[in-house]
Amino acid sequence: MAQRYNFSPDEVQRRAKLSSELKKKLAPLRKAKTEDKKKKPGEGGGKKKEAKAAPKVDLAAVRAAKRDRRHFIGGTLAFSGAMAFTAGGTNRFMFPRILFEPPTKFEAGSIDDFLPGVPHFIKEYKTWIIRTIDGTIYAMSGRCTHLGCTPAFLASEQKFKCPCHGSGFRVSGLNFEGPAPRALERFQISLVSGVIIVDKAKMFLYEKGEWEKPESFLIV
Amino acid sequence: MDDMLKKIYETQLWKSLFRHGMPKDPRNRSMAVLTNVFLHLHPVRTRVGALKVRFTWCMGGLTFFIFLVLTFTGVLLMFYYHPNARDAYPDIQKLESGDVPFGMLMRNMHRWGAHLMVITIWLHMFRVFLTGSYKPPREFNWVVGVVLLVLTLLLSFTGYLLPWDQLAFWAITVGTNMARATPLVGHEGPIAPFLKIGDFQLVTSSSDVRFQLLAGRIVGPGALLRFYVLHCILLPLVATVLMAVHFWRIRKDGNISGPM
Ligand code: HEM
Ligand code: FES
Repeated sequence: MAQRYNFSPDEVQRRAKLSSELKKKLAPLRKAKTEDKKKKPGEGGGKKKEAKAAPKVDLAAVRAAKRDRRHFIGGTLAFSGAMAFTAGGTNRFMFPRILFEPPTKFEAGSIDDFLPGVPHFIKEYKTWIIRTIDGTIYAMSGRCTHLGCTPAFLASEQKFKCPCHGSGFRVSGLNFEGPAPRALERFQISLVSGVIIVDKAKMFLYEKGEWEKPESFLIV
Repeated sequence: MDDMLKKIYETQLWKSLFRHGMPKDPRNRSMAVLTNVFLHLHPVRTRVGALKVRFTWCMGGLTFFIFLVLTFTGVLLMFYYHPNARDAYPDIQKLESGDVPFGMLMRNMHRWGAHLMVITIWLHMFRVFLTGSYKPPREFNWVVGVVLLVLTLLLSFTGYLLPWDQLAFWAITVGTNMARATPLVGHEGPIAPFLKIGDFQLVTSSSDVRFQLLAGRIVGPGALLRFYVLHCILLPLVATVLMAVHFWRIRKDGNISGPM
């Protein structure tokens, strides 16, 4: 003790005295306690002998124990249920029922708005409308397939270039440089009385061969 | 003089504040530590070797100090910053332009401090690794440390959106797009495509973890508010509790490990 705590010799003596005094004070109390136990029937000293003799089953005690266990299990289940319900509710709270985002379906404009060979960007919907010289029109995602920045069209190089990490895409949307793993997606496109309607909810992926599907392009 | 001090020590006010005598002897010294909620997190005694800067680089201590600086400057910035898409960027400009006295200093202390804390926390982890201090009985504190590291990085990430400038917007766009690929709870990640009831897809772009983080499918005003709450309330609160655990565990694991 003295070594561990670096107490002065005086302090060590004081502590030793305190603890021996305490022991003396407690001695009668301790004795009383052990004697108390011995007196109780079926416990303390008498216990061993009685256990060897025919063990009496106290049915009431067993029933009480069972009731206690049922209480405990029921309580635990009720508590876990309440916690799970709260956790689920908190999680649901994070998903609002209304959204202030542009709708997925929109009118891009009439066909004549789009010149052949000049990609046209619709900023609000982050969508390129591309009309090729040979007369097909498709709606292409403006969201880089790497991590979602907006590639810009470089007319002199006839490619889309992403400012974030340098991915490059051909006018067709095919990726050819940088980290982007896939081609830009195309959206469902349709013509209703001369107006081009685009639905971003329906996507067509090059790697799944979906650019062949008739909904993914228009022919003019 | 001594008499006056004695009288002060006898007052009820003094005695209610300090439940021990002057820390002149070993007993009162340990009482001074044990009866103080902040000090008692620390070990009562410290090895001389563990105090050597050569051993700890004081990197944990510096990380904690920077955290305090960030808390202080952060609270000050909150007095001028509105977490909505209309005000956020102009508010930062007001701080930077001199409209707010010391605004530029406070903002830059907060920003540079955030960078610095990421550096010191890595160095702290590095030194714990080099000195082998992660070994039992300190393995649990290493795990607490890893969670603190993640929290520190999340604090940096959420704070980065708040200026609401182009850098902020695109950084968070890129960062949260990674959440699309989270297994199970990200709609472009593994497992998610198989979670469906009939034709009904369970995990979509409007029910996945990224949506939960952004309050939408794009980085918008909802995302700004969510990041603000995470940055100013939830993450610092959790980090504070874990730091208390971290320091407490140093004490319980037998103090800072000794030099080898
Ligand atoms: C908020 C971030 C953190 C703070 C404020 C912090 C603070 C501290 C402090 C003040 C110490 C005392 C020794 C020293 O200064 O080096 C310490 C020790 C320790 N830290 Fe951290 N720490 C943080 C993050 C971490 C991380 C990321 C790890 C590792 C994954 C880590 C693992 C440990 C371990 C194992 C010890 C005990 C080292 C020993 O006994 O020598 N801590 N920490
Ligand atoms: S987001 Fe376009 S290259 Fe990374």
